[in-house]
Amino acid sequence: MIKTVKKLFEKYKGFNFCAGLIITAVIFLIAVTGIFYTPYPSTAMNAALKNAAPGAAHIFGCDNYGRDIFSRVMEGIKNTFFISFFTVLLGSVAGMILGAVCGYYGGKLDNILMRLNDALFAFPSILLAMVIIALVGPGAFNVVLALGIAFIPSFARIVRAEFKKQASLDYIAGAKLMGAGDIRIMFVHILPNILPVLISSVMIGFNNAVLAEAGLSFLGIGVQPPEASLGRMLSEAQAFLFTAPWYAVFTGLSIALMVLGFALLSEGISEKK
Amino acid sequence: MKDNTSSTEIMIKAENISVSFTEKRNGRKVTHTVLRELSFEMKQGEILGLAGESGSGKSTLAKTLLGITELQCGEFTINDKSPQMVFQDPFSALNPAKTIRFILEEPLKISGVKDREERLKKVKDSLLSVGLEEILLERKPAELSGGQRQRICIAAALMNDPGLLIADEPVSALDVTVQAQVLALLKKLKEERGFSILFISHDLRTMYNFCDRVMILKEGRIAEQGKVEELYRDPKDPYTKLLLESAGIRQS
Ligand SMILES: Nc1ncnc2c1ncn2[C@@H]1O[C@H](COP(=O)(O)OP(=O)(O)OP(=O)(O)O)[C@@H](O)[C@H]1O
Ligand SMILES: [Mg+2]
Repeated sequence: MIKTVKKLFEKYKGFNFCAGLIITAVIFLIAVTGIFYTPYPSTAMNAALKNAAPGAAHIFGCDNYGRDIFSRVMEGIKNTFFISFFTVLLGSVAGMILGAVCGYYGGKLDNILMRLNDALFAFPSILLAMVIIALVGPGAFNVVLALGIAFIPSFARIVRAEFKKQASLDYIAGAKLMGAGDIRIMFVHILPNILPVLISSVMIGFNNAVLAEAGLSFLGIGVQPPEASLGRMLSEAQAFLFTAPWYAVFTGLSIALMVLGFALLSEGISEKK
Repeated sequence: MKDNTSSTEIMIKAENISVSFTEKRNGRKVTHTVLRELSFEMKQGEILGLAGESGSGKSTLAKTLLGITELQCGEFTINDKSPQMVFQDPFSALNPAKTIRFILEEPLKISGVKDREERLKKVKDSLLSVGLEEILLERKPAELSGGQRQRICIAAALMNDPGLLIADEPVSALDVTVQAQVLALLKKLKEERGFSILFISHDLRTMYNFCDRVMILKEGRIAEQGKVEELYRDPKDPYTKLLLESAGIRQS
């Protein structure tokens, strides 16, 4: 049964897609489970277990406060996953609307909005997010807001280019002659044509969001303690690289796996043709 | 497009239409004029042929008349609320992401045909009327042959019974037998429904059989126009003569 499913996947989407899908599915399951269950409370400290090595009770070991690393990794994955998810959602939806309007209508509005977009685009998105967080303060919601806004320009650019290309084609002129409204043309006629591009940029965007979120919390301006976050854990683990290497290894691995899963998935999707 | 009902005899009246394109080349703006102060009239129910060499501005004129391309000066009136066009390039004329069913159903949805069954029936009828079969409904444009695609374009354009159809080289991409089929079909539909056709082609032979009147376009101007028989028998303009000779219709 599993074999035939696997075969089907390999036939149609290749190895990258399957591997990416499996890894991402596991990450997703962990993230969802992390909402309501972790083996231990992620903030429960135990002085006796300070930097305890991995064992039967604590499979990833314990951190410098004696907290179960596996539980904290689960919570960290949950935080990173959902923050990245909503970041990409905000960035892609806003970027798509902006890009669609600019690409479809063109003209002065397009000029003005795209200049603004380019100005934002000139900053690395992580830097832009830091500026926004400096203004609105840290916390999960603000991280989503900051990263989401920082991600708008790149999406807007891609979507605009695609819309511009499509809008000049005869089938759009035809739809206008039929009397189709602009909104209908943009989202019913054009959008399905740019879906492949959009999907792969959402995938790449998700990866960038994972890394950006980890980066922000590594710098201490992301999710705030005692809530676990992969970036912050990695930053704390540095101090114990030699006394408790498992701390850094498991935390780093989970970030790497998240990114790898999505990278493989987007690779797999784009090689479909 | 103004709807001028005072002159019901006239379908298109164009006066002094000029169209030019401005492009940026190497940072410099280059303007080239494609249509130069062009005037003509087209009667209702007529099949008017528009001929001329490649690049003479035929497609540009068509797109200008439908408001797709902006004109720099001049004016025109079209005596139809929703004129339609069959585009020259059947590849970009059909939405690649949509099925034939969607493409044919869309004009009906837009014009407010609410009933699903009724729409589907009309879609099937229109497919039959252009000589295609129902199995094509769930296919995408890329899965059709050029001739089938061209017919879908015609069916979609005629879906809402326009008064004016502008057909830009609707048969040039097809082989001769299919050409004859599609033209016969257009003529039949025209006879049944009574719309007018502005028929663009560079094939003077096809035009002779198909059109009532012909205009010859040269470098954005109308070199000559007239009834097919008269113009073909006794061309006044040297360029028209040349065209007819090179098409093998006239001996020099
Ligand atoms: N969007 C555009 N931008 C710039 N130049 C254009 C544009 N559309 C057409 N042209 C130019 O206008 C001229 C006339 O083009 P048009 O397509 O009207 O010719 P045509 O008579 O239809 O030729 P063909 O028989 O090859 O279809 C050409 O020189 C073309 O390069
Ligand atoms: Mg043309």
